[in-house]
Amino acid sequence: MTTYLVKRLLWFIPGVFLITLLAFAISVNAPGDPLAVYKSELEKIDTENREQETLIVQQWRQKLGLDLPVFYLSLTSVSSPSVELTANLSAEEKIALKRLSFISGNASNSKLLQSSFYGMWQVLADDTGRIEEKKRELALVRINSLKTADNEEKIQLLMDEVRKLQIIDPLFQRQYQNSDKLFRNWRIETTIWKSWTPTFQIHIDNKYHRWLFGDPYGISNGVIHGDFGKSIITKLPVSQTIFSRFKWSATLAIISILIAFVVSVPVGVWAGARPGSWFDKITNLKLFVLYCIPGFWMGTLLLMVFANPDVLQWFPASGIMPPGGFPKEIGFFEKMIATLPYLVLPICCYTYASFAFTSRVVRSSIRDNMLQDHIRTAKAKGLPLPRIAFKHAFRNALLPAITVFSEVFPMAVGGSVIIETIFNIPGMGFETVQAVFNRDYPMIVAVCTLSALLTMSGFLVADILYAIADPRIKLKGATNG
Amino acid sequence: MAEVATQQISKSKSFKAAVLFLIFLASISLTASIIANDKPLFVKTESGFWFPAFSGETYYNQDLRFADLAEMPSDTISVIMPPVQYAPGATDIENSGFKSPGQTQFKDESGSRRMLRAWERHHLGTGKRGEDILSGLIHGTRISLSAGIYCAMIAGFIGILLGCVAGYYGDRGIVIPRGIAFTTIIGILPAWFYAFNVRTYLITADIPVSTSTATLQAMASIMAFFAVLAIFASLGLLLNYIRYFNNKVNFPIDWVISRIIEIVNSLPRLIIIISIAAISRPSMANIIMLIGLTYWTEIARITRAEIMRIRNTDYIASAKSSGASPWRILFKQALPNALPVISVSLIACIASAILTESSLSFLGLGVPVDIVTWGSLLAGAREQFDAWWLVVFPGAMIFLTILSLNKIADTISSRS
Repeated sequence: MTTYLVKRLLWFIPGVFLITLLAFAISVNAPGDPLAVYKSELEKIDTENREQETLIVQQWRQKLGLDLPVFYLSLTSVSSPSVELTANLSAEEKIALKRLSFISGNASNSKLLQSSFYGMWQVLADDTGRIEEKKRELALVRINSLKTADNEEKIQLLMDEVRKLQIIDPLFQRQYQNSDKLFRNWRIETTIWKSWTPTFQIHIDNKYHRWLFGDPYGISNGVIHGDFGKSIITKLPVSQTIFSRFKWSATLAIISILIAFVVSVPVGVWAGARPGSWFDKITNLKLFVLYCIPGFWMGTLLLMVFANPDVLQWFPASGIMPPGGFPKEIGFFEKMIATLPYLVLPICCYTYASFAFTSRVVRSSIRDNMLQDHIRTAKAKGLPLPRIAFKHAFRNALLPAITVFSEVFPMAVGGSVIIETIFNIPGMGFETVQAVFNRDYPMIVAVCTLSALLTMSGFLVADILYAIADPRIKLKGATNG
Repeated sequence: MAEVATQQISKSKSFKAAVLFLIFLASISLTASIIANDKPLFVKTESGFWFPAFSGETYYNQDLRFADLAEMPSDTISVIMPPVQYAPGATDIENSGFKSPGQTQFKDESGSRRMLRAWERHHLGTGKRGEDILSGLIHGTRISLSAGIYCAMIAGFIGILLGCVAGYYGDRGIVIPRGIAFTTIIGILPAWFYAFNVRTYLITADIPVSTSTATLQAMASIMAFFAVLAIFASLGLLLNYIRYFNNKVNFPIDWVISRIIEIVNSLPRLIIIISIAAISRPSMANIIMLIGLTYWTEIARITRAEIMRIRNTDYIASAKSSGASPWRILFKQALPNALPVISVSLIACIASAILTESSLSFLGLGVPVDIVTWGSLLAGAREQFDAWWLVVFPGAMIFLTILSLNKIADTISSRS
């Protein structure tokens, strides 16, 4: 038993690791500039001259770890540019540099080439009227695409176009000659074997590590301490918002799972005890149909019928409390009563699916149990059927009902996305959808991680309950059966 | 046995009804652009004839639509329109703002407003912009069914392959010399490097251009991965001359695959699909791929258990003793016998894929805005609950499809 529990708990770890990897992958690949979140803090600093500004931005990049390697391990070719070379580059420039290095097998030459384009751009950008305005603009467009050009033909083409503009400024000419020379060098001095030779590196300080455990500058405490950063929209810490959202989801899920269990177990037992009876046939059909109704259709139908001024306006259509919030003086109990009508429809919607599912499982499990010897003995003794069904068969049939718990829990977390959106309940699911629509990536990452953790905990709890309830389980082989 | 089971199945009335309904849906989805289209099926003029609905041809250099019929050139002899004369999602200003199926519907004909004739009507009402619901339902059938089938293909491929390997070989089925195991493990990193690192550019550069070439490149990468692994494995043969490396070791493939299934199973699918859809561009192909890649576990689990049961039967033992190769036994003997059980899980996978796809389009996540699906039609009702036709018809289509699929799966699994 203990070994099984320890083993099961240990198996929790790779799952959590996988989830953090997935969430991290989402947060790394999220479009947009991570610096933008801290823009308000950047703007506070006086940025009169450009040098100081770039210096400050560089400091922030370093603090946020934007130029760090992504993960503990990296597998790259020998020719790929080192972290120092790609520092302070935009995402497109980084990709272009990597590509150029791969083609020539020479990272430092590629870096020189790319920075020489930047030199040309600098001359044009700093120019004060010496170069003809029209030509200058045309050249700037070309050079901007040169900075992210990632193959030989593209560079050749753009360089030719810049040359044909015939800008006769000596400063610019010098830069152009330099770029041209470097480009020729880049083409000649190739070491392609380097591109095809893999190297394997280990990085102690990396983005994933900082994301998970926090960074030395105290900007983030790390996900492991519950710090998911600040929401892009509300600028509040994500974890704070999540907690208030989680309350509602958890309340609804727990209430509806309890109701579903209380109703479905007797129905399932009574139907399964007399297979083929009218009760069994009718409930079986009804449960099957109920099981197939999509949640979002059920929700919309309920709203259409019971929250529609034209049909029956029994319940409010959305939200969880009266518009304008609760009056301040009322106590907890009155609040509950005021909220109740808002919860009826969502709870119906939550309950019916898990109800149908659980009843079907309990029914088939009882039906199998009713064929066993000890039930036949009980029948032969002349015991009444309810007593046999609820006393003798029920105990054995309860085991599959426990495994149902592991299915119902993720259903409550995942299904909540749809139901909460339909009924406008400010829970985790609603928050997820809002975050996706608002492109609020820290929020998406946090919700994704937390709901995955909750789902996995649901499975863990179900497994442990099952192990406790069933003494027959060959605990060692439980996972292989 | 199998024949008796088939006879029993075909006797069930509800099973027959379910199969007929699915055949009906399939035929609708195959002929969707003929049944519901705003281009004529056939146009005959004095100078020749056209089939605009089939060829997408323009007529006198302009798109010929139902709305333009009044302004047709005067030499037109005859025009045959499809039964439903509207394209899915096309705006109809005259009938915008949720017109119910029974309400009077109008048409603007060269400035004067007249009532629609019986065969021109929006038979199942309109949405906010006057888009035809019936046409949306017909074209949505194609999207839902193809999403379900493609997902089942992806999930089925991964699930059946992994399930077969895990079930057939078990934990003691794969015994290899230590040398080969050693070099193969070492080979994983270079294989990954040559298959994916070096080829990243080839795959990612194609994604915006065409999904199919990107998929082909990705497949080529996967093949390259196994090719490099095979080279390293054959290097391991050289190590056989050393006694230490010639000893045999077990590779517990069943254990590994079972753990992978467990971990993937414990992830919340919908939330993960939504989160990944949030960082990628909305596209149907992405959604199908994501659903397929998260739903294979159930198929793998069932296939594994079934193959494990079949592995211990007598006919497999006799096939083994007659010297058939493992792959031959697996695909010629074991898999055909496991097929009824696997098909149940495949059908269930189609059902849940359709459900997931319509939930996502209901929420408006990950699916392009301009594609009309059952879910997006139903979502239109959220703005106005009075529009019962927007709730009932699309919802009933989803419900009936899921019901038929589950009924078929249920019948097969209880009778075979």
